[in-house]
Amino acid sequence: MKTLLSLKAVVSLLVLSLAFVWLAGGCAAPSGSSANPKPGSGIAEYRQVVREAHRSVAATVKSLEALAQPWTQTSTPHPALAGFDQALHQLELTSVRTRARAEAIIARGQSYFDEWKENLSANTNQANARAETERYTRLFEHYGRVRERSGKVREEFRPFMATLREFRARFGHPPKPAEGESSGKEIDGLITSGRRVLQSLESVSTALDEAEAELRATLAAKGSKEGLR
Amino acid sequence: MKPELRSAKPPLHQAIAPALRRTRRTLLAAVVLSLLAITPGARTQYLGPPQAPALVGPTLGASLRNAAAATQAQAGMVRKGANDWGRRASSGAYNAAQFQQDFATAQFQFRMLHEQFNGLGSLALQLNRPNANNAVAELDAGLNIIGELFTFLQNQFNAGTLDHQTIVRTCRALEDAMREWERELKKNSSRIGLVF
Repeated sequence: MKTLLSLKAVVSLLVLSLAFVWLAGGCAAPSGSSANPKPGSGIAEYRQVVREAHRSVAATVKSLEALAQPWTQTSTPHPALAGFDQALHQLELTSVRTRARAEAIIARGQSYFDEWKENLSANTNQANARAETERYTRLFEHYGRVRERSGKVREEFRPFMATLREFRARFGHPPKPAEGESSGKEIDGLITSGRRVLQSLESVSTALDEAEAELRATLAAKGSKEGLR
Repeated sequence: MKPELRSAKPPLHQAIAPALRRTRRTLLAAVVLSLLAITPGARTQYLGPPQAPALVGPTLGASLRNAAAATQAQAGMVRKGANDWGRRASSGAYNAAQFQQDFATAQFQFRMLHEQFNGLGSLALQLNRPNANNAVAELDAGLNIIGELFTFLQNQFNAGTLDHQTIVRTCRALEDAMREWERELKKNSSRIGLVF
């Protein structure tokens, strides 16, 4: 009986930790057939993706701010142009890596939670089932929040990147009269748009922090309950 | 009106353009004829449009290795093609017709890569391993994102705002993005048990 209980506890903990593998970027099995993931490791990995994206967007915004400084010598390119080109190129590469990873992680998330939900119905002990359902609901809400905010980042980032490319294609050509002013407005618009992307990324980080705190609290409560048995 | 590349240099003289086009058509016909007449032994020298490789092996693992090797080779071809394209585009004489030809070739090679990768992906999904599924989803998303560069170039060309520098920069972005993608493919392939 004792063995059965501890087995149940292990399975339950495993399912709980798997619920957070949607953030792990692909190194664990929902059925527990491969190496068991460390709870919360997925959050850390997703946070790294968010940080990398934030760093790259912040560098681009900074280079845009430098480009916004007036430059009257039309015979030579703006001194901040080389820095902007470098930041934009880096952003292209970072965006491929981070967006692909984030999309894949989010896409996997739902199936992990689906599997957890299926496991819930298999629980015959009413008290356990209720507690497990509450945990599921709480953690799924966090997952939903991260997914929703990541979607917002995607919505903000795509037009930002597209406008950046278009802007760069226009910038640096011999300016016609009054073009300097419109290009200044365009840079301001890009800076605003870039800052919005940064804010969206920060809100994903906040959602990840909250999810991690919830997971830690859940695991701690679960651990202390198992210890009492 | 047909879009042209924005350039400081004057466009090709209109009088010689039809003659050049005729010459190009004759050359193209000659190339096609020579390819038809080529001996099987010499076919290995031809680096034209890739053919879908025979992916099926005696086991799922062997098929996966074949598909992964073919995808890796095709990805290398796209990357190298982007490098060559960028170098050609940096020449002042590079014109709209050359761009269209290079664009069509690069897009074709890229589509072939995506198709080859889809083949690899469907084989990898048969493994029914979550790490393989994740790798496939991530690499597929990566290709879709890289594909945005083609849309950008196409839009710029259609709007008549494309210039040499933009092509060169975009080719460099394509080349570097492909290099990263290849690295991820290699990393993920070893993760799901394939060896190059």
